[in-house]
Amino acid sequence: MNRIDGLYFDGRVSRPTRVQLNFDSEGNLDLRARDFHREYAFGTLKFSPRIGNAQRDIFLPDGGKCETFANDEIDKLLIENRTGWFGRVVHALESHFIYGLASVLLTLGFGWSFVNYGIPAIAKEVAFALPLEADAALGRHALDVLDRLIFSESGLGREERDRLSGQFTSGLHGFDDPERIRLLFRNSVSLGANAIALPSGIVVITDQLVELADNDEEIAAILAHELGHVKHRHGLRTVLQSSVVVLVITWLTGDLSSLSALSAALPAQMIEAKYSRHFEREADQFAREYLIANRIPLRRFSDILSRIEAESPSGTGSMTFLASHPATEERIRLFSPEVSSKHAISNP
Amino acid sequence: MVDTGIVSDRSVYLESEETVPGGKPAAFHFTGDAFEYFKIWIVNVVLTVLTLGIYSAWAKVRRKRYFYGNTVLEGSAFEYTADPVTILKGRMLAFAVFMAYVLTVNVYPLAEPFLWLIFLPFIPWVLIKALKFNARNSAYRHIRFNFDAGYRDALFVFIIIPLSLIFTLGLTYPWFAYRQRKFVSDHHRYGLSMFRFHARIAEFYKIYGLALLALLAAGSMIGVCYAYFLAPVFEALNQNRPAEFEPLSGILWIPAGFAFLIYLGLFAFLRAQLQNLAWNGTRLEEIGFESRLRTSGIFWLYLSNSIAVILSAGFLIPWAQIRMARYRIEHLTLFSPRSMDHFIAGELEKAGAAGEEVGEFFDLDISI
Repeated sequence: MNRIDGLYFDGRVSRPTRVQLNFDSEGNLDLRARDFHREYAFGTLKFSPRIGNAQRDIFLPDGGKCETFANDEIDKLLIENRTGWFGRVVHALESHFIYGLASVLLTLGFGWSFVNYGIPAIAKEVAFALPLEADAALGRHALDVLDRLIFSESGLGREERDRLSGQFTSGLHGFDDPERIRLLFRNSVSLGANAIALPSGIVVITDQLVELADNDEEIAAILAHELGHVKHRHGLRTVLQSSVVVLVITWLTGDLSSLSALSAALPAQMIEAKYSRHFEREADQFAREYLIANRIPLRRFSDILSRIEAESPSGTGSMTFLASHPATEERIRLFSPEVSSKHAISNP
Repeated sequence: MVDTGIVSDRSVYLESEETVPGGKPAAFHFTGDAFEYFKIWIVNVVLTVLTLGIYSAWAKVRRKRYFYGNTVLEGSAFEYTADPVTILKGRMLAFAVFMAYVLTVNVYPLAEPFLWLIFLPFIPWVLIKALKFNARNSAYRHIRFNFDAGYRDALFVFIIIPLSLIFTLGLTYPWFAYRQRKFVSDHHRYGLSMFRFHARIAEFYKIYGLALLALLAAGSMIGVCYAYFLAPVFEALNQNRPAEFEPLSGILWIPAGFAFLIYLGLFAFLRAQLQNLAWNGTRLEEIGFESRLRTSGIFWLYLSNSIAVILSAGFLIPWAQIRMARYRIEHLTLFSPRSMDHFIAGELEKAGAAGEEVGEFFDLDISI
């Protein structure tokens, strides 16, 4: 029925033989050349999938192969004999431009929502399914590394430390597991006025921050924010999220573009920055509730936050950019007295 | 070795011409089409994302089949025969290794150097596996390619030599490039026939030496440019007077753009010359190859491709890939004293996909 011209190779020597392929209505192959003639049942043949108009191969049961560029005829034959549905569906997608455009939109939407909601939701589920020991394991060595790199011993007096620790501990009631949370004091010139929460429940506060604070309530506000990170297990979640993001991006770009080196690093960083902003908001929210529960004025948090901003070295380009960043204003607004608590809670 | 940098252009050219054996030329042709490939590429992207990466194995096979199946020599195209399921399994394994690595490093940050000490001996093995997987799944005229190399060779070329670069301050890098190329070429087979690499190490030194000279020349030009024309900008910057700086800021782009063009030019020079050398120095029995890539051609492709890809938000990536493939393949010719009909198939043996996938995952450069 269908007569197709092609080349035949026996699979042992690279010598081509010009052949004529004749398929009958059941798809059985009758292969003819000048000096030979063979027949193959349709079921014994293997057809390579269609990819554009690239060369098509028909693998024969005796180890031989036929090559042809007659893609349409082969497709017709396969449709008539109802096989190769997978390749045909993919090829149909590949050959209709409008499907392509529609699927781009679908993919962008899917990809965007997966990165924005899917990955964080999975990481959250996984993090809370893991025992608290997972957080502890993450933090155990982190403190050693930080001590070596940016921290030195605190210069604060015994008395001041005890007072702050006592205030910190008394504010912990209502926390599920107060015994795993500890406050440590460190000096750090490079970090400046700052506080860090490690996943294990250790909160580190710098001497510089204690100096900068006008009163203990401001310190409590900052510590409450760090406790929010511990409570919501942000350390573990960040690790989980960023590894999934890096993995997904490596996977996609490694396979789909030759520009992987260029494109891989950038989006991962952007997405991670977004994640951490979300976590900051969550920790702020926790701090807000903490301050209300402990009857501390909300403006203590915004006061110290704006002072930390002002304190950070200005003048260089990057810092002026940071100062005008809307995130800080947004954070301060959350702690300004005009905002009703209802509004703040419904707006995480 | 250093004096090889001043070997004249002409003499090397004549030498490499002498090594090309006579015979009938047969040109490689590329029949791919950008729009046709765009549709394949976009479906690959879409299905890969929708299946959370699982389809990526099928996508990879379709992409490679498209490029192989459109590379035609003497009326026959190349074949890529890898099974997507094998590739998927390899990716699963790579995924598991990667996750184990990330988790370990996060729990014990101090363990990272020790982990690399454990990984290091596996790298040559992964490389061999990856090269073998790719070669075994490449065929022409129904005869497969193959790759066979011993672990100790690979360990020497890919671990010991790179480590020794630290002690020679990188001066032996051309030697490393030469050994790497020789390792890859010498261990490839087409059927039972062996590939041989016979280019001389001096030719590698010449290419890298010229690149270094060009880099030094361009670097000092940019330095002069900065020192004389941009002094007012830096003064304004140093004294933190943004108002004065504002009208001058545009000038900063000139040396930056200049540096980018030089970087691209050097990159194009190295890519074109090294690829020419790789092909021109390779023989398959009595068959020789000639690659005639020009630095200017590659430079233009890189420049226009990057602009097109950036302006199109990535949608012109397939167009860029097709152009690059066409340029490289159409400039390759094979010289054979007799017809290509006499190559005999080797025995069949399996190569797992894990090697190539692990290799790809950690972004090792194993391009041939």
